[in-house]
Amino acid sequence: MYYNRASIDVPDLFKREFGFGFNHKIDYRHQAFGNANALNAFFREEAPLYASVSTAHYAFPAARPMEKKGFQGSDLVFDIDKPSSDFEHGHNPIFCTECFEHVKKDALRLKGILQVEFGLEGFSANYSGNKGFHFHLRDENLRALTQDSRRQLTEFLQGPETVFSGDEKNLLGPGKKSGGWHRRFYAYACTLIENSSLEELKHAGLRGKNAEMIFEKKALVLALMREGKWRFATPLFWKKLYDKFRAENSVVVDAQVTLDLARLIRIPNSLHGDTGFIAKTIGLEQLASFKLEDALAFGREKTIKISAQTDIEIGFPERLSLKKGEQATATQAAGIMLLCKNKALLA
Amino acid sequence: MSRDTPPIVFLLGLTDTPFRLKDGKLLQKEKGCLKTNKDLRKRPLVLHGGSLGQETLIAKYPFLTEGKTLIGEGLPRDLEIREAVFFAQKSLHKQPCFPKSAEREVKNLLLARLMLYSAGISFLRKFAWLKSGEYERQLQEEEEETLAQIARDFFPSFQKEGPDSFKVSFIDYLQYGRNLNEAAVEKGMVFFDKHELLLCLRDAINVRVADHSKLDSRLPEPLAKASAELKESVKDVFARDNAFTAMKGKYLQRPELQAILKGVGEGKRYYGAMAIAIASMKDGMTKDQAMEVMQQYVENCSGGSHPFTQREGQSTVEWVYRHPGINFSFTTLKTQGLA
Repeated sequence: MYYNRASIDVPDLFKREFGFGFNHKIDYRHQAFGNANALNAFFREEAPLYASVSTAHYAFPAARPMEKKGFQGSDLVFDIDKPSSDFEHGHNPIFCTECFEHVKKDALRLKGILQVEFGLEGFSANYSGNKGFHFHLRDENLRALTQDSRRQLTEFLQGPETVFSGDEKNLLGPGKKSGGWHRRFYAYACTLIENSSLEELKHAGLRGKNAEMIFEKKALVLALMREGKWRFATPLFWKKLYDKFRAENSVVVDAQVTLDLARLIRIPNSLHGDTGFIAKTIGLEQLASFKLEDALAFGREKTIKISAQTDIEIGFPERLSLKKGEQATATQAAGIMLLCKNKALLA
Repeated sequence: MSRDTPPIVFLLGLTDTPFRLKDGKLLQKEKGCLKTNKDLRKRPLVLHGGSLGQETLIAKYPFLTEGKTLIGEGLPRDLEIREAVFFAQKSLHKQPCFPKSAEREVKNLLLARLMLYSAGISFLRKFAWLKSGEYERQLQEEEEETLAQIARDFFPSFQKEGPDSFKVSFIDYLQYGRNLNEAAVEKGMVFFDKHELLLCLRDAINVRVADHSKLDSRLPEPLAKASAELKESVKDVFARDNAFTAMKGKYLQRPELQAILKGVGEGKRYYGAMAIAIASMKDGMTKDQAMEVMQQYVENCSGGSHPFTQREGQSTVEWVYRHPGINFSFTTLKTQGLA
């Protein structure tokens, strides 16, 4: 059994509230442990399907109601569980590896933003055990951030909905002095105008005569842009261009997870009850090379016999195609995932 | 002063230093502390290399941390109370009030805060908002050195980066800054120009003046009486605002929203605030009117293991009004357990 060989640890464990689920994600909460040994003993004895821990530190983590816990601050947590933009693919409703790869790219982008823009180090990441990744930032200064501050961070990651104001005749946008997303989009648009051929401008969405005018008067157009005047192309063109830029550069995190200061989140290296996969801690340097195989708690060597409760088509942990009611021998990894997802029963 | 009434220094939220009361006077217990205003005045004024001396700086900006040292002890005299009432009235009626001395301004600000808090939290918040606007207008005229002195009081990491360019650590920025999206962020520092700095400072001053975490609304007799009189004299300002709050449109009139307005529990407060802000916008309220509704909501959500602050409520309103395309969804309310 996984918990017999695993070692679960959580930083500042004695200050945190724990919650466990056997049927639902959290059947009971307000649990506390004095040390990692006690926590691991609990895992070995109870083997909960779901195990969560508070992002918050409390003076009395087991106290209830919440008001009596003595809130001392909450880790900053980001949860990415869906791709930041729609993309064409044959989505697998049971377990989509293509979505996962897309989310992994977003996770790498988030890591870059946290390190390069926010200058943060020493944070940790883990696979969520299902669709995405969790980032835990446990720095003491970050723990004191209010919900309002955290909201600003999630907004920053997602980018503003627009960087324009005014109407078609007087469209105002970012300029030379802009900062943040505005500045980055300004640089992106300037590069497009400056370096594109006429055909490329048309391909970008500019219409015939408008594209020709911009191509012929690049210097004038760039001077207008420096002043924040963008009326030389239609608002619709700029909107589409900005939306594309935003989709390529944003990271869509689950804001609810980041904003909720009393959140219970999956314990790193515990099993996810919806998949049977490990919510595996990943070294930041290993994030790019992380593969789903790394998160398998149950191998592919041993098999179990299952009966499909619905039509099944999966590509991971193994390729399997079953009709409803069909019985088959599946690897433990695939079989347990299907059992966890209520797509199959033990035959 | 009744037996239950705490010492004035605690009422003002000025210090954590233990004080005791004897014969109606406050005595400081700890050694090495300055005991009278006379002692305080003897202290050399600390200059930070700015364009204003410390005395002048505090007189103009009495919310500065250094101003706390000028408070002194004991109950305020009648004259001081009257002056503080006048100080508050002027601000609430949006009339200019010219600084006199550092000590008097610091006392005026603190006594005004205390009396307004006793009159009702919305009085204090209104005062803080107006006063922060006054200070921001003053700051616009200041030299950069003075701006830097004020900024460091709020953002310890504040540094001047170049002409019209400043930087603070992004964690500092998040305390008071409201527009990270438009700020240039690099290696943990946020860079901004004077305009953005002034906006940040207004927010910061507003938060500090409105902070009532160390204020006690139980006042000794002369202050309580003055507070009641002050409340009466500025009620016209609030009659107008109450009318805004009472203006409930088709969304805010819904029973679900009325229930949320009465306050929700921890874990749902942010979503409740979002619902109220969106409903206010959809009902055609101005942002200021929505702020008043939000104030009422936040006051009703005061419980919990960590505070849900007016600033969080206000930020929610600001966010919603920056995203006018956002839709109201009763289904979402149900999903979030708010209906």
